Amino acid sequence: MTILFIEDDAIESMKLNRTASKLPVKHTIVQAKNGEEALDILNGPDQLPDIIFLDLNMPRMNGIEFLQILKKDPALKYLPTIILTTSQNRADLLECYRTGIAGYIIKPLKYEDYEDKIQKVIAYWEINELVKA
Amino acid sequence: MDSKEVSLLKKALERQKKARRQAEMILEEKSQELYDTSRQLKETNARLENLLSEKTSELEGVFINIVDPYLVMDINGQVIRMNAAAKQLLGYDHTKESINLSQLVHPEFLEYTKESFKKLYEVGTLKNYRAKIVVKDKSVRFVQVNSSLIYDKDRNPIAAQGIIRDITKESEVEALLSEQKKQLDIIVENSPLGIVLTVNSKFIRANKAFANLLGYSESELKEVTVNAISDPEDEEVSQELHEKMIQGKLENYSVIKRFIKKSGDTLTTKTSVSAVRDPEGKIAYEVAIVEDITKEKEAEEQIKASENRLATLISNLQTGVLLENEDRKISLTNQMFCDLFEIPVSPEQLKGADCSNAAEESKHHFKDPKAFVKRIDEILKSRKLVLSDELEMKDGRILERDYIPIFNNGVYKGHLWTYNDVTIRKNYKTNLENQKEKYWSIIANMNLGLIEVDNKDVIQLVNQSFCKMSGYSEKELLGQKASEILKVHEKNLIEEKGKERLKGKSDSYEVKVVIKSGQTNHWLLSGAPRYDETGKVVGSIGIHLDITTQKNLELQKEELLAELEESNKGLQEYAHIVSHDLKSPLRSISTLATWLHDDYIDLLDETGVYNLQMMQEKVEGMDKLIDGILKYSSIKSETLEKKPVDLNQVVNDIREIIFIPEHVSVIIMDPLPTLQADATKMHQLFQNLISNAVINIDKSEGIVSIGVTEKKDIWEFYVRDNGVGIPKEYHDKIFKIFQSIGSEERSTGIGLSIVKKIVDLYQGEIWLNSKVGEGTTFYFTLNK
Repeated sequence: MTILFIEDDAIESMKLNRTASKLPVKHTIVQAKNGEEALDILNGPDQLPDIIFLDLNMPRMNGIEFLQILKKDPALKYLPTIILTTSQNRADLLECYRTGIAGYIIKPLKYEDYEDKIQKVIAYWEINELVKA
Repeated sequence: MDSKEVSLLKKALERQKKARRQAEMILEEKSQELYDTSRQLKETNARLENLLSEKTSELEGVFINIVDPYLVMDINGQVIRMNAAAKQLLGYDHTKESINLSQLVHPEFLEYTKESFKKLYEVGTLKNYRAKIVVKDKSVRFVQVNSSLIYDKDRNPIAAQGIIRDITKESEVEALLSEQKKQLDIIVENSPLGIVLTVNSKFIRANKAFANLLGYSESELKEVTVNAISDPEDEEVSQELHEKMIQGKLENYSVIKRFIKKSGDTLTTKTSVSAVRDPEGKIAYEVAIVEDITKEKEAEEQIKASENRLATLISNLQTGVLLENEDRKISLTNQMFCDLFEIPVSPEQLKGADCSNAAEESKHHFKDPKAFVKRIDEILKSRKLVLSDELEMKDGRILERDYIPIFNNGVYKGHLWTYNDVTIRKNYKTNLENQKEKYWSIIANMNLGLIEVDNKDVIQLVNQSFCKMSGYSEKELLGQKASEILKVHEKNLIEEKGKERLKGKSDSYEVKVVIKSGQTNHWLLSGAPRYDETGKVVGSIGIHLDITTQKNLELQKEELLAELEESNKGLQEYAHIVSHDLKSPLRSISTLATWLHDDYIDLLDETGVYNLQMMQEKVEGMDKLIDGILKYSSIKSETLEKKPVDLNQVVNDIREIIFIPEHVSVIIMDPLPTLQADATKMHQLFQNLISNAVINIDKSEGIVSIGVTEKKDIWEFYVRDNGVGIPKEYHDKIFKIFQSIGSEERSTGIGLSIVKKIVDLYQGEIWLNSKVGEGTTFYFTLNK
């Protein structure tokens, strides 16, 4: 499975990579530091990812703006996008669901909890049929 | 010529000569005979003449003595003889002039005369020949002649003699009679009254009118009897009267009699019957005159009905009526009159009562008895119409009295008094005036600007306040068009409202007006239509309140509110961003500490592991604090939902979510109500209080009890624990944010602040009872 991970924080990237590396099945994690970079990757020559993990609080183009662009794109809108955020703002949550997301995960404080959640999400998507390009 | 022929001729000639001789002989014989006869005739004639003259003289002796005119005429009508009476009648004398009777006959009678003469010659006598003749003096006489023929001895008529009677006078009477009869017939035939002649109930004659009334033809009437076409109901009366008439007790009678028409309908008549008696006094005929009174009958009934109506009307009139006749006796009065003067008898009983002392008797009813009596006397004396005299009664009632004298052909026939109780009307009027005055002084002095305009928006009236408000003087405003002098921003609105005013609608609205000084002010305007007495809209009334100050404040407030909302929103956003920005590094620190522990466990000593644990706990505390601040800042009234929330359910949910140690039990003491509230906030409220209580348990057996008391408008809840208790000096402090008094490390000190904020949001109150070492009870109220 190819995961596009949109996150500006380096430690967050380390957390995901460390979590993914512990899994028996190997996954490709492509990282983008913000929305613009992510769009470049999606519009680039490489194959599209299977799912997207998206942080909301990012400099320049924030997560919701990116999501809106994504969901307007006739091809890209099929990509399942899971929000990974510390924001418990209900307004954000509602806006994301309205625009179209495949999940909304609050980053827990403890790493063990984080690992647990991410593993479950990946496991869930592993058993799903994916939109292969 | 031969001899034979000659001889023949000779013979013939001979025969002829012989025949002539014979004829001459016969002629001679006959002549002799004729002569003899003629001589005889002469003798006879002479004899006859003698005889005649004898007879004539004989007759003359007879007729000379006849008084009636007598004359003899020859068969040509020439008068031969006439007596003196005849001479006098005709004016002629046959001895002096020749008279031919045929020439005397009036042209109208020529034909009749000719025929009569013919008859005379044939029969020998003529009786009752009547004709008009023209006598010598040209006057016309009517004569009756009886005549007979006179014959000679050979029975040949030679003359006629006649006795004339002058019947001129008789004829005239007769003609007159027949004329009169004719006229009578005309009268009878053309009479609109039915006229019948009967004998023994049989119709001898009936006129056209009668036939028409009944629908029978005259001939049909002859076939029926009077009784057959009479209504049987009337028979008894008719019979009785008829009987009396037969007995001679009655000469005529008149009855209302109903006939049955041929069509079967009933005809109501007035029938007058008269008896015509023979010389012996027996009834020869009965003459009846029949008058159709169906319509009269109907009219009479209508009059009766309208009389009844009128009587009912008068008796039910809300005006007291008293009608006195010329002798001051009561002819008519009604119940209202009796009621007005408290007369304890019915109006019927008052009829005929004498009123000459009525004024004196009833004066005690009035406030000024003397004046009352005086006025009555005055009125009665002058006998002139008096309207609307006002009378004040002792009991406070006010009556209005009219006096109407009644004259019939100029003769005084009594008078009519009418009394109306006008107390209510009068008082109403007085009240109205008082009220008007009262309200006007209010209007004039009130702080509201009053303006009245007509239908063309021309100002009719303004009060002092309006002048002050608008900056114009009363003089400047009156007569001006309101919309022109007062510049209102909402011109369309004013026009629209004006139209509604015409429809009778009234309402209030706000306008912006430029007053005289040029300043724009806000007015609150209440408009209502103005009506005249007939209920027609004649304009509108506007009451104005200058709300400029309030309006400005309101606008300011609105602006402030908008600003506040904006900044609140910003703050909310800010809190989220800050919390994210704070939480992210915390997550990193926590992760890194975990990894340090996991990856370097072999290198760390006990202190190192402990320190890493402490670090984790501090990070956790910080994270909770951030969450708490975020929650606290997100409690806002505008996001509150209002849905039924079952608080029992809320507490049960909390019991499952929060960590409750084994030795602590959370008990609901009373069934909790279901409130209209925001579920999340109720959850936060109870969760904070309950977890607070649970945390503070220091006993081996902890009890947290939750209960409620129903008050009039509120619910009073409590959450009680048997924990450490809170020292009195902290009771106020604990509701302030970041004030934690708990010894527990996990307490952030924000929970009770959240509780207080939610209770405040629902206009409730919160307080506590606590004893250190024994426990704490938090009370709070929520509106029902």
